Amino acid sequence: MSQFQVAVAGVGGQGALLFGRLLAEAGRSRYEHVSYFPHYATIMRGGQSECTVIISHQEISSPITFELQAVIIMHPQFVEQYQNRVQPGGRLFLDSSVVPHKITREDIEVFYIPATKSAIELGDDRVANLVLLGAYLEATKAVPLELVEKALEGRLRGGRGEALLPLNKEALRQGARLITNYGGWKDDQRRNSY
Amino acid sequence: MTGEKILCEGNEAVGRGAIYAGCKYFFGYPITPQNEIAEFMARELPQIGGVYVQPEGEGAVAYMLFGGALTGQRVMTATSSPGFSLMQEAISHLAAVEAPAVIVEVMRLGPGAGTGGQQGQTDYRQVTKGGGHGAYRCLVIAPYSAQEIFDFVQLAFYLADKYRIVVIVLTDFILGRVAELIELRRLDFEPLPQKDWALKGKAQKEGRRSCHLSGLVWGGVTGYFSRQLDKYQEIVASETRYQTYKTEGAQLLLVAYGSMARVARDAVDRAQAQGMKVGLLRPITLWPFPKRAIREAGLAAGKVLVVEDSPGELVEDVEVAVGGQVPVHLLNILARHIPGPSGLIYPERVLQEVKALI
Amino acid sequence: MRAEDVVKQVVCAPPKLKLPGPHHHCPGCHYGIILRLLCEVIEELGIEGQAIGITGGGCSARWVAYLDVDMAGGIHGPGVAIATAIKRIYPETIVFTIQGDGELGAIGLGSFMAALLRGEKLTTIYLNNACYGTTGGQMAPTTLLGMRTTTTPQGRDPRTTGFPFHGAELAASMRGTAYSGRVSVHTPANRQRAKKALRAAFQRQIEGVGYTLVEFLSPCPPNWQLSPSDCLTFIEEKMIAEYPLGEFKNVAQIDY
Repeated sequence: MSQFQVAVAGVGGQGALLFGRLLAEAGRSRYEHVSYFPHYATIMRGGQSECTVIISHQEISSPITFELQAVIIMHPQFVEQYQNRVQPGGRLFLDSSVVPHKITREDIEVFYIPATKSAIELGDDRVANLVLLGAYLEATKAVPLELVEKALEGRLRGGRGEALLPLNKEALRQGARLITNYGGWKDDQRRNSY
Repeated sequence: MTGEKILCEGNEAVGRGAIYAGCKYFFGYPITPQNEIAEFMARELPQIGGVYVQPEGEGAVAYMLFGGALTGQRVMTATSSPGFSLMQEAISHLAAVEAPAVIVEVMRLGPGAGTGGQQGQTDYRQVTKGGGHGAYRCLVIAPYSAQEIFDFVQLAFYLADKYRIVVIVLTDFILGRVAELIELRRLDFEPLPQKDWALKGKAQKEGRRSCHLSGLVWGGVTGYFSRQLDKYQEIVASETRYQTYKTEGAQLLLVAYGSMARVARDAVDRAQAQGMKVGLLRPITLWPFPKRAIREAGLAAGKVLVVEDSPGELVEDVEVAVGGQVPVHLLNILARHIPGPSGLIYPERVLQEVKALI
Repeated sequence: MRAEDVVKQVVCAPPKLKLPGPHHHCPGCHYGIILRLLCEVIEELGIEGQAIGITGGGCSARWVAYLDVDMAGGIHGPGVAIATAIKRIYPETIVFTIQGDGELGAIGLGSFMAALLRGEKLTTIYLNNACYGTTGGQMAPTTLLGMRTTTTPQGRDPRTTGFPFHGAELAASMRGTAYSGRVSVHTPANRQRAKKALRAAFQRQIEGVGYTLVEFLSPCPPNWQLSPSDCLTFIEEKMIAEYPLGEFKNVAQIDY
């Protein structure tokens, strides 16, 4: 495809913006044009936090658009508004560990990803955003996962977070595996039950 | 000169452009959504022998800009709407002594405290018509991408020095936050005259003394204003900038600036793909305003649609430009969709309006 | 001794840094004396090539045309903010502000406090005449209690207008201040002390120690509605009673 668009919606601290920033950084080596628009409230933690990423071979006219090819929902408060932002034929990814909703739209593909549960199993619930990013990459093939890993390395190498690099990479790969073995909503319900 | 490409937010592009233009002195005060500019300058300037000073508020910031501009060095500040209001008095003094300075205004939304974390274009009138007293002008440039922010900040310093005028680079929440690939390139401009008027101590100027008094106590009122009028006229003749997009054969002309020009451009693409003859004219300088270009393109199209994230300010200038000869429609702040912390005007909504009008 | 020689000994030449031409100050105003002291001190310290002066609004605004050094101003209030930028950009210059009591104690109090807090290496020549002189003698932060002005026609009442502003003491209380003193030029002996204080203040800026301030008491005959000579008595009896003269701080080093 010549262009990928995705919006990620979460609350401050969930890492919705990092999802977008990593995708934009990874995307720049494969696409001539990249835009990343983080849109968040002036609250450091807990406020509404959304970003839009477009990676494209053509010039990007507008960095914001209402309907997108894909939407990631990380918190139940966004379900009502953001499910309408998926283009017909597009994809919606939910962190099904924290978003209990079943989406009724039939013109889009919905992926229920137990991202927070997977993250906890990996050792830290804060990597749920990367589980979702791994899932998004596997489902859309927007950019190879390795490029995102490189972008992560660029951010974490030599810094305080360097020790977290293996965990972060594993979260990405776990997200991709969840897509490879995706069994639909019913299967997800079973996986999310403790 | 071509350079490295980096993924860069609009606010960071401001700082990078300023440093490329040789600006080493920045005066700032925290205010959302421009904080990234002040933070960038506070981090970078000391490494290149420059100075970042953070005084007690934007009023003092603007007076530091006044003092700094009079030293002859390139100086800048960045602020957002309430802070820009606080600066008006000093901007009037800068105009009075014809001191060159660059101010980046990253608009937030609405009057009063406004909304720190929200998009808006509600300072158009204040920025273009001058918020301070005394019938002065500021040159206003409105970039619409991170690359343009980087380039136009350099242009702003050049124009400020060339005309001894305050240049305002007007962006907003979207443009400040959006990261895009920018090419780091130094723009070359015509050589500028020496700043023989600068304050640096007589010893640095072969004993010559410089003196600047804000106000018209000496030198005469008509002399001052006639000099200003000559200067403004030259700026209108030489520095009016705009861009047209797919206006050839257009039956509806969209007019928008800054972030809304991006949104309008997207709507033009979509409309054209559906066979509608729609074009966009984007003012790049808001003062001087591309009056004649809008008039010509507007008359050729037969109708105009202004898209602005404001109750309606740009539309007033567009109406004056077309002189009542063609209808001017307005898609304003009420056209926002709600998703996101504050709602935004999306291309889809502009397209809907285009369909209704064409 | 011939008559011409006597004249040469009694009347000294104007200071070299005073530009030719008359100044506009009213008869009996002391600003002319203070201007002269400023010219002499800059000249004697040999800093005219590095000096940059910023004037405020009001009566001292036009000093930009009286001193033969780089000058700017005419702006009511933010002098120290303007001066800060210049000093930060050119640390080797000697930057001074000339500001009235309405500026430091009212409209520019924020800028003044902030510059004190930052310990900017500037010299402020602070002119205290207990009123807004240029605008017609309205109440200033320094107006004495009970003093009648055009905006305190019954006399200044602290219950509604607060107490007089003590700029020199305030400056002295700040850690970033190197020099602060209050002087008057209403007698020859005081003039000598004033010049010494001004010199000491500039010296501390030259040494790069910290903020320096000299507060000058000065009369405003038309607004005080006193004759020039009665003004001298008023300063001696009333002004100095509220605003004691002296050196409040003078340090060679500030510990950071």
